[in-house]
Amino acid sequence: MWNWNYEPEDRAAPQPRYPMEGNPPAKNNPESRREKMGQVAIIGQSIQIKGELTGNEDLTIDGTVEGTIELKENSLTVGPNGNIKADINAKKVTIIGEVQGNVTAEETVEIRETGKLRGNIVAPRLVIADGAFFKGSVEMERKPGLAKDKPHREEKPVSRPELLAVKP
Amino acid sequence: MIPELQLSPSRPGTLKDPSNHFVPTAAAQIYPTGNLQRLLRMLSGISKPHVLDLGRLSGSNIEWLIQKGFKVYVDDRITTLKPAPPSPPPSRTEKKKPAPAPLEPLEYDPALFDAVLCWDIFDYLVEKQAQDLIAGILKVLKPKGLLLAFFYCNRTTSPPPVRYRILQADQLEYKPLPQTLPRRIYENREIQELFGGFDTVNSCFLKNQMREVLVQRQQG
Repeated sequence: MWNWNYEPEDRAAPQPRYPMEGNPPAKNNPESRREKMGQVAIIGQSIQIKGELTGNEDLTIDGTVEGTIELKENSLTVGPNGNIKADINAKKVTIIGEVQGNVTAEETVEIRETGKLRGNIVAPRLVIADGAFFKGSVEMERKPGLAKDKPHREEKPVSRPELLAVKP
Repeated sequence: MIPELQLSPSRPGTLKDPSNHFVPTAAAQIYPTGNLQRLLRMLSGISKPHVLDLGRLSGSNIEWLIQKGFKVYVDDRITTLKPAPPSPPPSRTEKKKPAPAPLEPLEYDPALFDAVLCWDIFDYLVEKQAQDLIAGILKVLKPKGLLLAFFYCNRTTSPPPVRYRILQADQLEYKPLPQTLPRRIYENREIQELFGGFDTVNSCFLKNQMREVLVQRQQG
């Protein structure tokens, strides 16, 4: 029958669904998230995006993107299944799949052996593997617009401690 | 019918059998070039000359040319070359050969380039394709613009296609590729006819059986 002596097991106290006061939520900081998860953002093979893609973390695209891609301070990798019809502006661009559009990089554009690019390149450094496909023009210059975007750090004169002559 | 045995050559880089195009073990060779140096010298007076490279893509060539002050455009015409359609079974009524796949037109502004590097692309084109390409080059090349082309001249051997890498202004590396492409051997007269709208600056025959041709587009 009824077990009146039944003692319920200790249940873990239900966690609040939302963090309570004094336990602030982790900031939506891509850097900290990357450190925790140990990976970069990935747009998978079955994903199709049309429009403007911006962000401030490294990104790998293995799907289809049409529009524009802006990752000015981060790296973009177009994976082997990636198919991009967009102008790309990133710090570093690595192409393993296919890209149709102009590519501007602050550091490097790399086209791997299986990579295909139809578009113009503006980057201070270019790496093209034998077997890659590229049709377009190359400007190995730093884009002036990118330099403008970075805030100039005003250097303050360093105050040095004065040496005082000490009389013996 | 007994299938042909594919035997690799006994020494790398040698071609005992002319029909054997595939030499996977062939090492890159270095050869002098006089006409590339001549081209660079002739363009030295121009501020940031625009050059179009129609040969096999070479990242180091792009970097080398940019370091020399060029604006480089790359349009690899050999990799994108579509193979000729298979010949139809012979019939009594029709004896025409299949038409070659047309080349993509050169989609650039007229008179944009100071020089066009063709390397040995014409060796892999049939007559109609070569004529179409030359007509396109004439449109995009400035008057007095230069064209550099190589032609393999030995009918008894057929080396594999190569990737040309500029080592110095007067030195090229020929890196053989593991591919088979039928190569057309031109007569001197055919080369002259091909470059009808050009003046010959220099044409020289090298020890490696290559003819280097540097031509200049006629004024107007």
